[in-house]
Amino acid sequence: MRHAIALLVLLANSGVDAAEVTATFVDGKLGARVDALPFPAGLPKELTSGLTNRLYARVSVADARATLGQKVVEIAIRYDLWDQTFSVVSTLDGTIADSRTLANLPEVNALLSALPLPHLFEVATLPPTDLTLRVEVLLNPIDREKMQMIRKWVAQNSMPEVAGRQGITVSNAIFNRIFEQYADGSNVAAAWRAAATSRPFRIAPEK
Amino acid sequence: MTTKFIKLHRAVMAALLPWLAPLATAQDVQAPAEEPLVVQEITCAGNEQTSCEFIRDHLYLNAGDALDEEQIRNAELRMSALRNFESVKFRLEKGARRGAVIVVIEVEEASPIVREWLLGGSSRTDSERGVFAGRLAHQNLFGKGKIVDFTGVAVVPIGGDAINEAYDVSLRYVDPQLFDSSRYFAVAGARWRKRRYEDIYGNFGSMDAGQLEFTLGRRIADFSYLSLGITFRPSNDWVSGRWDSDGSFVISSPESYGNPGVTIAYGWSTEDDIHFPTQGTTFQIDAGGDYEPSEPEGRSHVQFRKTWARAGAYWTLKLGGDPSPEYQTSLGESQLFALSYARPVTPGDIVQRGRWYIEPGFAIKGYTDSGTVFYEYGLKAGFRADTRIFGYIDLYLLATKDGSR
Repeated sequence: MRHAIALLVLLANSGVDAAEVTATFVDGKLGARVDALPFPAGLPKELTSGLTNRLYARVSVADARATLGQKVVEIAIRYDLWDQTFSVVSTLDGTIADSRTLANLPEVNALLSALPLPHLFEVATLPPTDLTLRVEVLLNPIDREKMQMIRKWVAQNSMPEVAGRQGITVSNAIFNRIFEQYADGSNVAAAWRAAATSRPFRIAPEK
Repeated sequence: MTTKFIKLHRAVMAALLPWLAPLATAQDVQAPAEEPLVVQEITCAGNEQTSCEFIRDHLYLNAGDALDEEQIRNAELRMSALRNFESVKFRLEKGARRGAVIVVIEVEEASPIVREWLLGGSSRTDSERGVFAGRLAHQNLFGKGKIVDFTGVAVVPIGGDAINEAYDVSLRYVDPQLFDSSRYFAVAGARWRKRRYEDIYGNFGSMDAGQLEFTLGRRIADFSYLSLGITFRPSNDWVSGRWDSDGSFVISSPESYGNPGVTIAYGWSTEDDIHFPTQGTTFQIDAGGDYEPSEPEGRSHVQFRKTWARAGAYWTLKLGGDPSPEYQTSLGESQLFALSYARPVTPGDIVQRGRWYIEPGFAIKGYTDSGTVFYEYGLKAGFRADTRIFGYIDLYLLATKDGSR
């Protein structure tokens, strides 16, 4: 059954943190746009640090019964100290999907304020029922393997120079947050993360 | 500030609508070839107490190396784990020529002063008492990571037919890296202890003694350690009486409190945090030595603690109370065997990290006047947190029932 070009989006809705997810439809593929993600206040400074910052977005589409599909989009942003421009490389499930250069920080901010995550799911594979898109975004994610390595280092922490050997500093809220996420069973964690779910929408069959 | 940031996004967004067009088809796009960067220099910013050498040692990169961002992110995580710093951020600056970068490690140092408070109420074996304890420590003495701490514990009787009263004050100097060795640690301390107890069956004990303590320890392999401790007491005013299993009553000054007393301890710790473990194990076994006195109830010669994280909660199995591995000490009141269920609370401005917990447990206390086993079982409930104002706090209530009646 062919699906229509018409996509009935009943308005996006934020699940958490006031972010909004809107379903998008381009070239027969369902995608998402995430507006108003509450990024950490220090992000602009991070973006111009010269180091690569990675946004990791897990997008899942679901109907009332089950999750129908899941994709991972990673957006790597790196500031060139000499050219003072930003290279932005997007990958979809590990394959490069887009690469471009942005001229300045406001352009990057504009991109992040309405984060486009297009071309994710073939519309033809989705049922004509109420669907939702859930997007979880993590900034500079850390995988479980690396976390285990760091944990081992912390536990070992018999470095001669270290003041005290009591392990992690519990005053470091960022690190604690990461630890708690792993304790919750997540395979990927980050000091900053946000999630939002769209309002239900329906892909109408072509007439 | 976040709101301003979002507004800025929205304002500029209008001019950038073309960019928001769909991304190109995956296979058609190539990432730009990246110019390899080389580390020209590594510098530090924000460090007042901590030497840049100490900071640089955590980054496994040197001048002349190709820039490895993975190494930088790993170092950022490792350093964030240290109690020396509130925050650690890395950034790059332009070097002398294109492609050469200066790696700047920007730190916000944490206070070296640690405060820990214990406030509890317990009703155990016909004795109600309040438990108050505090610890104040400087953990970066001379800027070299040496520790001095002052600890006080008071167990104050409130009511009941039995008596359990204890006061303990100690001052310790700890060198976690003796003579700059990563293997050896040492502790020197002075302590005064006063304690008396008597249960309803007639088991009793009393002690009033000052003492000097010296401990030398060596770390073995990754997580283990072995230590030798010597305790001197100028006067050893200590006596106890207890029922035995054969119904006889024995009065003695326990051998372990001889002058000097020698303790040999072996243990290991794979926990990631002594106050808020999320995983790992601690184990310690003492031979020929002394009970640790900083716990209101005294401490077992065998201690074991293992923590699992499951379903958003932490499960901790404990034998012999909370651990004091190597030179560390922890304050707490536990039953001999306990299973703790703890859930984290959302961090905020006041509570930086916290958990509430419930802890059913069981303890063998000795023998009754009829020679039967005297044991208790009960429940502890409390809240432990690292707070911005008070430091670590542990608030709890513990109630047990005498199982032998």
